[in-house]
Amino acid sequence: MYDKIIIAEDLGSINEGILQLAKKLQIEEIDQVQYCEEAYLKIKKAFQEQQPYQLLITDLSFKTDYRPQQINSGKELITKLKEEHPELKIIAYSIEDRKAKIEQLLKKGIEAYVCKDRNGLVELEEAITQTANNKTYLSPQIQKIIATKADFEIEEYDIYLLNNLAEGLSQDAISKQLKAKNISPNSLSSVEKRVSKLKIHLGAKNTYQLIALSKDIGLI
Amino acid sequence: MKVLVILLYLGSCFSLGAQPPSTSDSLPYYTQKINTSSNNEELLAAFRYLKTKQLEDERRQLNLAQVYNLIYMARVQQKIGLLTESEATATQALQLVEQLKTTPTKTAYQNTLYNHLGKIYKEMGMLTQARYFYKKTLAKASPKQQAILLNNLGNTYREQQQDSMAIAYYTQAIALSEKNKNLENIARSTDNLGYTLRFSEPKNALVHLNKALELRKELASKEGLFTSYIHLGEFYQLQQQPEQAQQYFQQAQQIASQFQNLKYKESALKKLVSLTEMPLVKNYLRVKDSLDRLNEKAESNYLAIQFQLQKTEREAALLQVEKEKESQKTFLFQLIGILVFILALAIFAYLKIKHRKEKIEEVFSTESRIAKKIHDEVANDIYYLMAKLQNSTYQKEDTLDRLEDIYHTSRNISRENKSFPTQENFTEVLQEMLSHYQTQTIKIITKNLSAIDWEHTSVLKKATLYRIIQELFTNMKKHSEASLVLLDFQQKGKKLVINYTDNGKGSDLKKKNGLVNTESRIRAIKGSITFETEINKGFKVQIIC
Repeated sequence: MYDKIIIAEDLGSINEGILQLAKKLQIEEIDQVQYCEEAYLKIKKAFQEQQPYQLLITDLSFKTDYRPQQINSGKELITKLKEEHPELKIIAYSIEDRKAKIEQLLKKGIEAYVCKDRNGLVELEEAITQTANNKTYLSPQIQKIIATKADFEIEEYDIYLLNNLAEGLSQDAISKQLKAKNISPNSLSSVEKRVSKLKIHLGAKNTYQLIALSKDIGLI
Repeated sequence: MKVLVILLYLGSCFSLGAQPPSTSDSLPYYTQKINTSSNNEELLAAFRYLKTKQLEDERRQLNLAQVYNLIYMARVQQKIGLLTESEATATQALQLVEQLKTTPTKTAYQNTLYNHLGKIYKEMGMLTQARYFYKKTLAKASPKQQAILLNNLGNTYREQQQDSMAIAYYTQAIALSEKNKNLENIARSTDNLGYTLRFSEPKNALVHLNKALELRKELASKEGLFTSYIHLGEFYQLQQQPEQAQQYFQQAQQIASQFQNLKYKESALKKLVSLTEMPLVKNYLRVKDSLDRLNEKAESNYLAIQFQLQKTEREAALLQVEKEKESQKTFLFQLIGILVFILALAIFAYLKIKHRKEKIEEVFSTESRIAKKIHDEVANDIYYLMAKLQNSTYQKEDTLDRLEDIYHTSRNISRENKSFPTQENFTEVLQEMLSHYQTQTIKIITKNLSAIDWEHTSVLKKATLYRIIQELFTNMKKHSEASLVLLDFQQKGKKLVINYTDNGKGSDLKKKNGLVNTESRIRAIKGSITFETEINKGFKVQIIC
């Protein structure tokens, strides 16, 4: 378990929650800051004094300070720190659940991403434990978001398949036609796979409904 | 001698002139006066008339008329002895002639002016210049004119006592005149030739002088005869034969009495008187000559001053008119300048106010939209939860569930109104946004989204599209009950065409709250948005921008 951690969080109530959690986990030294710049300076100082923090728990968005700051967001803080001190472990703890944003942070090398949620604190506890054991952690809903493909982008190939199905051709016949036209993939199995994928993405129970839906939204 | 000079040039006077390009009633009258009169007052009157006409023609930029005026003005100036002024006027005319297109008229005017300048320089005693202009005229003159010019050239040499040159020119002139059978010119040149020869070859001289006299008798030309008699008289005076000389001078006097002009009479009488040997008379003549010269000078000085005075007065008046015109112009320009400036300011102020007003309106509508959302979606739910909590049977888990719902609702409101991320890959930004509308029951399909060149699309356009698409999907989620949405992107030239289609229940209400905003948004980037919907026929939107 960690001995010395720092929490960057500008909301008092959340701060209190994390503090209680850290105490429960018997972490000796817990520092709290309200601005990312302050966090950065404290962390740098600790490294210089050779008593470095082992973990940073940080929010992503902060209230703007009355003083102009060089570091204005959790993302900037993470970027700078991971460049200068990759050994410092970082848990991002935020309301943000947009896939692209989270993926960017993961690329910077953060160890865990916890969604501020109803189960946020429970998940944060898990994240602290896991990262202390050199593992990574993602909140379950974040895992789901990362796993899902953003949306389904339909291709000319799909339109071709749909058009032929609408004209009453069997999948076998379509496969043969594709071969004749030298369009690949053209095996029966790949045609079948593609058609079932289309059914999933368009929410169709069978081929008939697939065609009906395609017509409804003007795909064919 | 002065009379003689005038007579010698009579023939060459204005035979070279062209017709006036435009005639007004007074013009022929005055030009006639200039050609014939030797009265200074009349000449001045003619000059004033021409000067006024000249200014008018200058204003109207009638170059041909101007040249015509200037030629006559130069002639008046010459006649009253203002040779330098005449030279200047003729030069000015010559400059105008240069600007004309090459036509016979131009050549005629040029010749007239060259000849005029030749005469001026001869009178001024600048014989070399005079010859230069005579020779220039010679090249383009008619044979008759050429004969006169050759005669005049001869005169210039005779005046410089270069008799051999003079004789050569007279001989040429006679030959040319014989060729085209112009008796008057033959007589003039023959007479001049004889007169020149009177020192070197007296016998030959007499032959020529008599020949000229015979010709002139035939022609019955009074001026010619007068000259011939004077020349013969002088010849005999030189030969010490006073009686013969007296005879000729008396004949000259007789002819002179037929002229109006007293100058002829005077010069004939003077010749006669010069024959007497009385020292007193000789003395008197010398004194009178000097006096005449002085008078002449004084008169021409007086005229010159009068001329100059008129000139300066007119110039001052003209200058004044110009100044007034100029200041009027300047004032007009200033006025226009000020008006343009005020107009620009007004337009600028108007646009600024309009822009500010639009901005305020937009902020206001956004604020009221958010306020309404918070009221409808957050406050209502919290109120509902509070009511439930008063009922003690409500479970902790349920409370938490409801609270989480409210939490998500408020977070979504925040997300919808968050500033648009401009720096990032727009395809991903859009996919991200769409993914929030994607559920188990709502499928979203895009077509060509990643094929669009978003990098070269303006930030404003992207931000607008982002908000509009967001609006469309929010609307879809709230009202349509659709299970499938297609968002089709097409690049058509510089335009981007986006088709939204869902299979929802559609609506008869075409423009609901949020959708009104999409119209004002698309108008701001000069695009268009078209809605197409019917109950149970889905919802279609086409955005072109």
